[in-house]
Amino acid sequence: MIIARILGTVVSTQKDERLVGKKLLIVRPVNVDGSDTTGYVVAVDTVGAGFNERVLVVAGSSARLAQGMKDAPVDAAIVGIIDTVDVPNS
Amino acid sequence: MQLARVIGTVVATVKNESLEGRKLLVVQTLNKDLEPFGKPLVAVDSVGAGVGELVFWCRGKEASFPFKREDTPTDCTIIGIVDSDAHVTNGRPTSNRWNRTRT
Repeated sequence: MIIARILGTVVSTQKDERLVGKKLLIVRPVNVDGSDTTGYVVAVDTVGAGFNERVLVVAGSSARLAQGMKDAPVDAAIVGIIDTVDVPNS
Repeated sequence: MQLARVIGTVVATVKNESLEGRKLLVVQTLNKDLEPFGKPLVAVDSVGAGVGELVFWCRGKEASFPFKREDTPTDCTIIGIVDSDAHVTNGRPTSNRWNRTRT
């Protein structure tokens, strides 16, 4: 899983029917110290995350295992909202 | 599977129901000389590892197999703790079956 920050939202009306009702968010991977990296991922939200929050993103086929994602064509899902990241000696 | 060092912890109160009760740790992947490479990742712990320990982890869908495999969304799980750094032999002869001379 990677740590990411929510940059924005995606609105899509015409999509696979298994994605209907799912919130799509643009997230950017961040380092453990909180600094941004480059790039972005469109991820399905399963926890109700909001703008600028740090979240846990699971990628690949495991994203389908998140609750409510069964058989959905998804390869990135937000599965947690991060309170703290504690890395001693960093 | 790859070797990694546990370098920190993550606290997430709001998370997918299927991840409730699971410990989340920050792991830094290591190369065969036990030097860090790549970016740290967040891993789910299945063996009771702690900060500073040398572990190995599994990526992909198989990462959910230690748990209820049909509904644990994880792509990175710690599946073993290495006894000590000295137990990573890295090319030195060992007594394991892979290094036996074939007859």
